[in-house]
Amino acid sequence: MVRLDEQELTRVMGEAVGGVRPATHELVEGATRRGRRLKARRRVAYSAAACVLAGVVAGTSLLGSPPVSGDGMRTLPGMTDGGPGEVVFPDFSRLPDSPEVPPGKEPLTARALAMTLDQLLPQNSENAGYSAQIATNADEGKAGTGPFDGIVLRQVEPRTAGPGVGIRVHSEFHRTTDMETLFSCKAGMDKRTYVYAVRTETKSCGVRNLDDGSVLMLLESAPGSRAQHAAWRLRPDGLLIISQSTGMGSAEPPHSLAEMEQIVSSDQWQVYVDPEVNERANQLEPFHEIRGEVAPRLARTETD
Amino acid sequence: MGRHEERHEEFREFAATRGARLFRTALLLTGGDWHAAEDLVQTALGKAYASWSKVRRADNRDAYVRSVLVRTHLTQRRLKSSGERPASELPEGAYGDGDPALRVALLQALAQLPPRDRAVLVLRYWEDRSVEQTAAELGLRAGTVRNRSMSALAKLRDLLDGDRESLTTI
Repeated sequence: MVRLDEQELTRVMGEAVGGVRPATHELVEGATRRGRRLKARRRVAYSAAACVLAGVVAGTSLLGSPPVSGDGMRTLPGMTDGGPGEVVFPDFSRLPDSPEVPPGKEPLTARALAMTLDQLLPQNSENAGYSAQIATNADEGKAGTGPFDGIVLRQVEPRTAGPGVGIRVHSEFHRTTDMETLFSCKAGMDKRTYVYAVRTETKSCGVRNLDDGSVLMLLESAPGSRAQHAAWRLRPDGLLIISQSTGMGSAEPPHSLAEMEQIVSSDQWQVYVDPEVNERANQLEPFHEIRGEVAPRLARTETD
Repeated sequence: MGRHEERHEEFREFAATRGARLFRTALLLTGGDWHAAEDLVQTALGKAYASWSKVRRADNRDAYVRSVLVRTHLTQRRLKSSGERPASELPEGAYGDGDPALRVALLQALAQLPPRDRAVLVLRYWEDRSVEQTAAELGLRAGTVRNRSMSALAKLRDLLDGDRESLTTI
């Protein structure tokens, strides 16, 4: 009798299924149909997430205003201008292609995302309520489109375009191919997330590595219209967190640049959490879940 | 022919030539559930279709799609509570050559292993991947793959103990 060792198992597996003949034509047809549906769903999902930012880009919400020249910009002390070769990006090659929800965890809900921000902001700051949206895509993630993209806004006044603070999280941002260009004081709009990094109003900017290998970018506009303080952090686990505080008219943003940096530096930003975290967040008020609408002009995300 | 049509045809050619091999892998991963294996292959290839512009640029398309297949299987197994159908219910006409008793014995034994252990064995001994390659595809540490591989093989050996005769008489 032969012992079932490694070589023997290879032989036995080959003998067991090597002669199997599936209906290849049906497999291909079925795969093509599913692929088309998946592509269509991705476009819709991406558009829904992007539409929140579409208003932003048009300057009608917390996070937006037009791009960018970069001329006359001051580099923040102790930082670089970013761009190719200026900072070291984490090695993302070991991250899984298809991230899985860890056992016992579940994806953060929109309300829990808002609660995270609530815990990180000063308790005495003005708050007219939270709005948030999670766009999940359980299929293969790509930058800006999932598997987990979230946005949460907290406004000082109950109006759409008022001052406040906004957070975006992108769990698969590490898949983007031109991070060096984006983390730069010369950056324009990121076409995957429709976020403008550097704007015409940006007067101070800096990019540097953090101790854990994250890349941090800070942006500060001069006092005046659409004044803004923003911090971007790309973590070694691939998660991008953007925190922006925006003023209104000539008013200063309600939160300082240091506060924005502190917010993105927190390790409380997690995509998968214990169920109790989502449960606790159900108490958070006032809260409004954003329902995105499809924005066809922003739906061109496929590269083929 | 436009670029879209060209890539569409390129995908279909890839799927047609690799589909059978992927299906055999899927059949081992699902512990012999023919229908689940079909579903798994179509899902994995569907994902490849939706991301074909990325897949076609990969250094090794086969490895890329196989990795999608394995990860999709593990995700599905975690999300679904339904178990696999036993190998004896499978359509016999599609099996071609090989020993039916051996096939049933092996697939039924594999079906009793945890999905991740099964994936380790399939990648290591059917796909002939190294410990490091298997670890990378499954998102595990190399040491974990070694341990799981040894323990899964031992368990499989125990499960097949009564069928050992059929395994050695081919």
